[in-house]
Amino acid sequence: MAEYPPSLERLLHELEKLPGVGPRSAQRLAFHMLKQPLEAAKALSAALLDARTRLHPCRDCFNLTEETLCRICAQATRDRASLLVVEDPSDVAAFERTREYHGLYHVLGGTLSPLEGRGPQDLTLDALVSRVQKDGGFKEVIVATDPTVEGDSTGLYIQQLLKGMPVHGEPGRTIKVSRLARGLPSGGDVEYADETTLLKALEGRREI
Amino acid sequence: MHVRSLRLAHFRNYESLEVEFHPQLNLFLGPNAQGKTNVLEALYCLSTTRSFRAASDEEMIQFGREEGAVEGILQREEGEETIRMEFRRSRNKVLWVNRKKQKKLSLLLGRLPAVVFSPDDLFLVKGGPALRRRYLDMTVLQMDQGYLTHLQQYDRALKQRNSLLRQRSPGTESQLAAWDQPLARHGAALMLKRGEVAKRLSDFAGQALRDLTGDAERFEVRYEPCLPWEGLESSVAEKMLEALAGARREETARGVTVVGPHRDDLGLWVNGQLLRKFGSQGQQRTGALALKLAQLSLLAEGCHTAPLVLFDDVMAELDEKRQAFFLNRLRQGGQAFLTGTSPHDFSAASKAARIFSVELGRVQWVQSGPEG
Ligand SMILES: Nc1ncnc2c1ncn2[C@@H]1O[C@H](COP(=O)(O)OP(=O)(O)OP(=O)(O)O)[C@@H](O)[C@H]1O
Ligand SMILES: [Mg+2]
Ligand SMILES: [Zn+2]
Repeated sequence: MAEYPPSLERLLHELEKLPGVGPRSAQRLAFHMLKQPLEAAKALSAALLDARTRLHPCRDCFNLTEETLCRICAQATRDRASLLVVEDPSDVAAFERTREYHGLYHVLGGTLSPLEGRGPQDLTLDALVSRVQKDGGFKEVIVATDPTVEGDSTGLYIQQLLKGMPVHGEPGRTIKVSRLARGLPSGGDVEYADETTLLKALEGRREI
Repeated sequence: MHVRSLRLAHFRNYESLEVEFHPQLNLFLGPNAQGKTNVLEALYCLSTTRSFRAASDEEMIQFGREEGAVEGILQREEGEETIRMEFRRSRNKVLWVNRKKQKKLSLLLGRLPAVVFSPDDLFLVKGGPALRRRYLDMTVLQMDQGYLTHLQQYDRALKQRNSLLRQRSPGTESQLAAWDQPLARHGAALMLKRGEVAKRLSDFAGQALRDLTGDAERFEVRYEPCLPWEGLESSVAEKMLEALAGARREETARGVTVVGPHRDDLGLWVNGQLLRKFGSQGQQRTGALALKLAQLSLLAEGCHTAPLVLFDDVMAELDEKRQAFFLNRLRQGGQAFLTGTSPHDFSAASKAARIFSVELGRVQWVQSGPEG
């Protein structure tokens, strides 16, 4: 299949590894970039390298950040009694765009999926549990995984983990765990839901 | 409503094809292996996005090609509608309606309902439960778009859960519980819908068998799930959770989910006897016909539009009396497409139909058919 010079084959090969990119889109992307001035290619590769080297998970919530703590965790004005659990950093951005949620986040890094060999130890679940236990200030945990079977099951698993954990400083009170209401299209991505859908889902959350 | 014309590109043995159909009766004649069934298969794709015989969509793409397409122009009361399905190797198929690309394939379900009659229907009676579940599912799917979501989510949850059971590692117990819930929720929805539809199928199949046998035989179609399904969806889900809990030991030992609608069956009974075991060849054949007729009646009632009837090689198997019965039935229904190898198999039908000859992936008008 060596229809192209080796350097181009290599570029196509790398592009095809990206999610959602098949041979055809890889070609389109590659030929587009090759038509641009050399500066454009340099800028792209520099941006990629820069992002990859500077960004790492936030110490507390696993959102992407260049610092120790992400901007949200570092903000003094956030409501530290509420924790929203999401699959990916892009979901954090989606909820931030609603401007209606003022609490903290926890990024799982995916869902449980035995088929793909992903178990609890592959997500940030241990960190979630110790965060809720040690931090102690949380009164409510909202699970906002995607409305897929995997998202549902991960939500239920989290509920089992956190069930009955006490709210610090309020004897007898336990943490409320709720699930985002299913206003989202079934099988849809949180990230792709528009702001109003997310808002409605947030308002209609129910305890699990 | 009817299919006015069909276009194929790189579909099965058709390099390209363009045909215009008769609004009522269309007859495809030709020797074996020329492409008659392929035309019916293409029509079924316009109805359900998939084949009635291929295990995978890719089988329908012409050998040596990367893509194949089926396009149909439908004549509806409101006007014309173009439906196009594109199949691509190792990529998702694409649906276009009126030249607009559609995100959801399920949009198509029920728009152009279809029922296939084929000699393979005998396996509905003689074969395993999977074929009967498929028959039931294809009936429900065309009437209820929401059913697809439950079917897909249930299947996904089942695969995930089985994968977990196979791992047999400690600590899977707490994870299993998290998969039980979606399995039970979608499972309950499937069972309720299947049970309801099976009841109505049973009524129609009973009527069909009385028609076919001159009132001689009593036919009953019983939904046979592995747990009681009647009641509220939430209580069925509750029962399924209990059954899953009860089967925990067996499931962990065997590494597979043993409770749920993926094990459902339809019991087919004629005169109180299990048709699969005690029916004669003839009775089994007639039973299979009755099942398909029941599907036709139910879809006609539930879909606001008469289903397409795809009649593959069945006429030749019927005696004259039954041929007449079917023709009469077809006249009351929607558009029909029949295939066969010899015009003699269609004594009664051939006068009323548009006739095409099919040879080596080419289709030609032989007779135009009555004014439609
Ligand atoms: N993907 C494909 N690409 C090209 N040709 C195919 C493909 N799949 C099947 N065929 C060819 O199509 C032909 C079968 O067509 P079809 O099943 O429609 O036959 P038929 O006319 O219904 O015959 P019969 O009377 O025996 O049922 C075979 O010759 C087969 O080789
Ligand atoms: Mg055939
Ligand atoms: Zn953070």
